[in-house]
Amino acid sequence: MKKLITKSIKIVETEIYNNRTISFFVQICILLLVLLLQFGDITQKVTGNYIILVWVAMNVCLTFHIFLKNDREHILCIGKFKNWKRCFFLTSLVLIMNLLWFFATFIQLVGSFHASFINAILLALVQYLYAIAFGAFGGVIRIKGLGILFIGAFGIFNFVFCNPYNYEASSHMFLISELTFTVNDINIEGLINTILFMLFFFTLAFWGIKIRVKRTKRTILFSSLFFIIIYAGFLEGTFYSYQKTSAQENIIYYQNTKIEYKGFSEKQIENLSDILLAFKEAYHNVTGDFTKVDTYCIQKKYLPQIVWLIRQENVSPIQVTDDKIEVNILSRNMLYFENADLLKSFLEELSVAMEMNVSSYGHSKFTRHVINGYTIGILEKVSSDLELASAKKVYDYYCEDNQAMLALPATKYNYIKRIAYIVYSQYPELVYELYESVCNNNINSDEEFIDLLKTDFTKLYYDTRIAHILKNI
Amino acid sequence: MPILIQNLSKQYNKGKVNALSEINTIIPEGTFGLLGENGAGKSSLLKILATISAMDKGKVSYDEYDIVKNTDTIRNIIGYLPQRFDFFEKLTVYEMLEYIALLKETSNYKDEILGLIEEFNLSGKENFKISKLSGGMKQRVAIAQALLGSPKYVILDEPTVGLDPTERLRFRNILNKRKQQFNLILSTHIISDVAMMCDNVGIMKTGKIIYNGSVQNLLKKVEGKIFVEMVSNDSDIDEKKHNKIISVIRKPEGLEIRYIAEDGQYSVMPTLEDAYFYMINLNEG
Repeated sequence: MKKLITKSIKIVETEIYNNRTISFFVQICILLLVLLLQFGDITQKVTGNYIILVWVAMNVCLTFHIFLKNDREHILCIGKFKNWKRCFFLTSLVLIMNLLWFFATFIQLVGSFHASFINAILLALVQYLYAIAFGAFGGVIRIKGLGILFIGAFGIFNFVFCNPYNYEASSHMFLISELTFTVNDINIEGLINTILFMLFFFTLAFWGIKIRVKRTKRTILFSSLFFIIIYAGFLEGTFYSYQKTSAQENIIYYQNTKIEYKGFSEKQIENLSDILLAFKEAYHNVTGDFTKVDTYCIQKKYLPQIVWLIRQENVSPIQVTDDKIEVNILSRNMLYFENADLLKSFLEELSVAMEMNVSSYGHSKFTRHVINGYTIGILEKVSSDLELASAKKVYDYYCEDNQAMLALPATKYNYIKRIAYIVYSQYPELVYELYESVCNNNINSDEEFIDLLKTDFTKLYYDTRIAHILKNI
Repeated sequence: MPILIQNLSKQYNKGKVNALSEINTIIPEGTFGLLGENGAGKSSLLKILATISAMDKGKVSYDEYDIVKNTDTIRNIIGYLPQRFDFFEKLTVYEMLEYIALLKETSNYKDEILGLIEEFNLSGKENFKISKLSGGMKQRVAIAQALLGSPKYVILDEPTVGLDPTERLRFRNILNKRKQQFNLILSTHIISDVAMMCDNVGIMKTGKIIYNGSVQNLLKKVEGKIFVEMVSNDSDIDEKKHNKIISVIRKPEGLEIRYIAEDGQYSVMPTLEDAYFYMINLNEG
């Protein structure tokens, strides 16, 4: 078998790449590309991860095709190679040939994603086998080019959807790199989802490798049906777990703030608690205690994407109910915020809920705009205060964005927001006072607002930047 | 060990094409030639016998071994040359044969490979890449791989396609020499190949076997039904009279027309070609 594998490797290299040198060169190029991506942010690292896996799938697909194409199938078929041995031989061949990429994935998980040794081994193995299974499935499709087309579509699908914005479900079908977002707190649902699909693709591939003497179309039907039943069982299990965690409730007090949490440990919700408290404190500083609710609930709402689709439910990560602000954790990504875009998106959603929670928010356009302006400053401040690594990037983004905003001419529709933002960032001692005055004086026109500044907040009225804004409207 | 075929059917294009329909026959031991027009079902039948293709209905057994239940056993004892084959083009002739030998788990394959290379007149080409070989040479490598590993049954689908007359003769000689080592089943368009090599013959037409038996019996069956007639080079051939023409051969004295009829002027001893045409025509009639 050893000699056969060695010769087969030579065959594959010459059939796909013409010779071993080109094969080596191409592999090195891919490796360098992946290495380069490791210097970027998490999105680029994840991109590197699925580039490896799509590459493996593609190689496997081509390898299988080399041995199984119609005019060659007799080569492996006739002789002492039993059906199971043919499956074993081809699988061993691709496992050996792509071993470099298994180690590359492992090193990437340890080096770039800082995964623990055990987690890295587990994830690298599952991802690697998934890629092999998917490639093998593509390789047994006899219609010319269709297998590679499938792998290409798989790559594009991962490129488009496997990004940090996907935190709307605990697992997605066919997203091979999703697990890398939380390498040290493995998403069990995602892992089981990946393993199930891996087994399904292996079943299809082995079915395709087997050369039959009696037509057995029913086998594929039964295999698919069996998989659907197993997968439905898995989905049912996730739903059961979802209902079970919804019933559990723990309470923790942080600086007199009550935070309820369901389905997580205290440690897991540390980052979210920090964000909630930072927001709470920031809004209390600008509005006093005039908030509708002061109770926060962090709850696990893990369901695979397909279940959300079946339930036709759109659950937002942040929901404001009558007595609390609920943070629905739809995926593990939301616990760790490794990615800056994900954090930014979450902070902005939360800020909207916090604005709505301010009692006088809806009194007038003026109270609304003042709070909106303060929110711009709060987002900047909260992102600078958070200890998360991704927060620095968000902070830089807000600083740049806010400066760009101020550079643009103000209009009567946005000038209050801009003034409020300047007040929040430069005159923190006047922040609460200005808001209170706008509320108490029932400001209802631009003239009244400007008069208020002129009479009660002369420091602000004569501030160069604020004066410039007022001059333009 | 004869091969027993019962009610064998095979369809393509979701049942639109009947490649084989309800075949019941026995392929006896020895050399068996399969003749038939294009699309008669010869390759489909051989693919099923070689366990490469799935049958829709029926039963095939090599002696007591049913091919569905004993697929692996049967694959172990056959050598097969498909009608269309593709090798790994970047391998050399020796490497390709070595690879097949490894897959067949043949022991001491080196001598066997070198012997086959010599036998098939490929000496000096063993280190040539397959991609550099002519069509005829590739065909010889393909036949050689079917004989590797001392199979008990050798199934060859159109083995002489692409071989020049000398190589065809060499091929016949090799198979005649090895006749005792295996049972041979070969399909071909070239009737003379069957005439020279096979003890038994099967004739296929539109997915059915219309004759299966010894070459001798077939010839006997046709005796007295083949006639020849000479006509001058410029005279018309009477289509009514000679509507079952087998061949027209130009000779110095004119055109010799060989035809099938119940009576005629000059009866001749039938050849296998005559018998083949007779059977095909009989089945049409």
